[in-house]
Amino acid sequence: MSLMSMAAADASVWVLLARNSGYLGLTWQNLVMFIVGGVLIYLAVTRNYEPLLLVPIGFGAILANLPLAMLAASSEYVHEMPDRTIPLLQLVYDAGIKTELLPPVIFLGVGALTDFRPLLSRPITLLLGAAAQIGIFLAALGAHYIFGFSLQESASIGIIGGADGPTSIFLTAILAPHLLGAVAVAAYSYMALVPVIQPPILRLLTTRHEREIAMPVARPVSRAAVIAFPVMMALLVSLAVPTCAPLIGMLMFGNLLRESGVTERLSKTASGPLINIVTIFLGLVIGATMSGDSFLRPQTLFIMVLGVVAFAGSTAGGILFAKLINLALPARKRLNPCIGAAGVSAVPMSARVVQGFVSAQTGGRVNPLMAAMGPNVAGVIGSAVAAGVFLALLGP
Amino acid sequence: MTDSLLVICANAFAAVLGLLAFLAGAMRLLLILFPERPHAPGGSFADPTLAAAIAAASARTFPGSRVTRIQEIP
Repeated sequence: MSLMSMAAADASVWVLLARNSGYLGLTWQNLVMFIVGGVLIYLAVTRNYEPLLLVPIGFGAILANLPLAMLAASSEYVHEMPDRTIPLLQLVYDAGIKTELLPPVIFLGVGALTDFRPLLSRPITLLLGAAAQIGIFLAALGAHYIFGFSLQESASIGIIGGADGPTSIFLTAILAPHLLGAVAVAAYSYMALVPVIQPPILRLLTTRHEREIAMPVARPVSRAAVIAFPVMMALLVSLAVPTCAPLIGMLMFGNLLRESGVTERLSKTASGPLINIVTIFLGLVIGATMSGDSFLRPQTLFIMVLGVVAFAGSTAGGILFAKLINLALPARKRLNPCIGAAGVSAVPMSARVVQGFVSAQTGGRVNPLMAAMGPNVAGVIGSAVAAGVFLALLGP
Repeated sequence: MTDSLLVICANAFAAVLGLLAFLAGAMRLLLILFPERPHAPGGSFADPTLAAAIAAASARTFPGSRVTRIQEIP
């Protein structure tokens, strides 16, 4: 029998293959999401916008929208076919997001990477990290009263203003898991856009005289204080707001590994391979939640708008609170109010933006990088505490 | 508990601000309990954050190296 006649005889095989092909199942939502995923990857590659997260998220979004490939992940997934295994990324979602495992492990790595000395040497800057969380609450109010989101959804949207990806994912996975993709994309996108969002607000809210304030050299911090700091913070914060203990506890544990000086191998693992592995899974699975039918809704657009409000509000809150503190401080101890903008977290980009702005405005005479790192790392603590407070008040 | 998000947000913000103010006080106490001892003249550098930055830059440029002394030239 010739090859042609064999093929003709088994045409049914080809029909079956065609029916099982993803091409026939493509919808316009899938195509749009391919473009969305492509744009995220493009921004990460060409503009260097949070590439470690946006590349996995973008590719995850593409995978999630392949018809019949079973690579999407959802909080509403129900295992209906006992004879089939759980889809790959759903398995990661169930094991890493539903269990709240991945964000705290990221915090462990962040703790091992973070130097809290700039904060310890100027404890007052912790207040700037607190004040710069006001955007969270402004955006939450806007989400609820203007766009009609539920209380839990509003809190999840507001936390974008904390400018902290793992915290946003941690809170949203518990309070509003159906918004996870949109909230994570908004959080990471706007974190990447800090150099665009913050300078106009800095220019608007500070005077030339205020930008010229050169803060005195910070006080030295002893090694004992640096080691005692994470233990003390983990205890005090977790006792006050137990719901944020997974984040703060792991953050401070990672920092203890770094500062103790006797666990170098653990510190290197936490800040290197471990955080990298978890980042891959976290990014990919967040992208996998972005199926077209759940992402392409008006709510996603509202979330993106509210994300800007949250970031801008937090930036303004930090600056204005620094000005308020200055009213009570003697002239020689005054803060450069620009460092308040770094309280939005987004470590270390926000501190670098403040430094770049002040340095440019003062012709290089004032260079507040280290001063801005204080509120910057305080913002990480502040946003985790804000998430914990929301969880305590609105959680299941 | 109230269903008003305005009340929830106002209280949540106050809680964050209050807790972090308390932590700032605790950090001040920590610095008093564990003060940095003055170094011998010509010994260690005064600003630990700057010293850490110099050490990090040096380690990046010369992997494996260790900064043992930093001197500020007026």
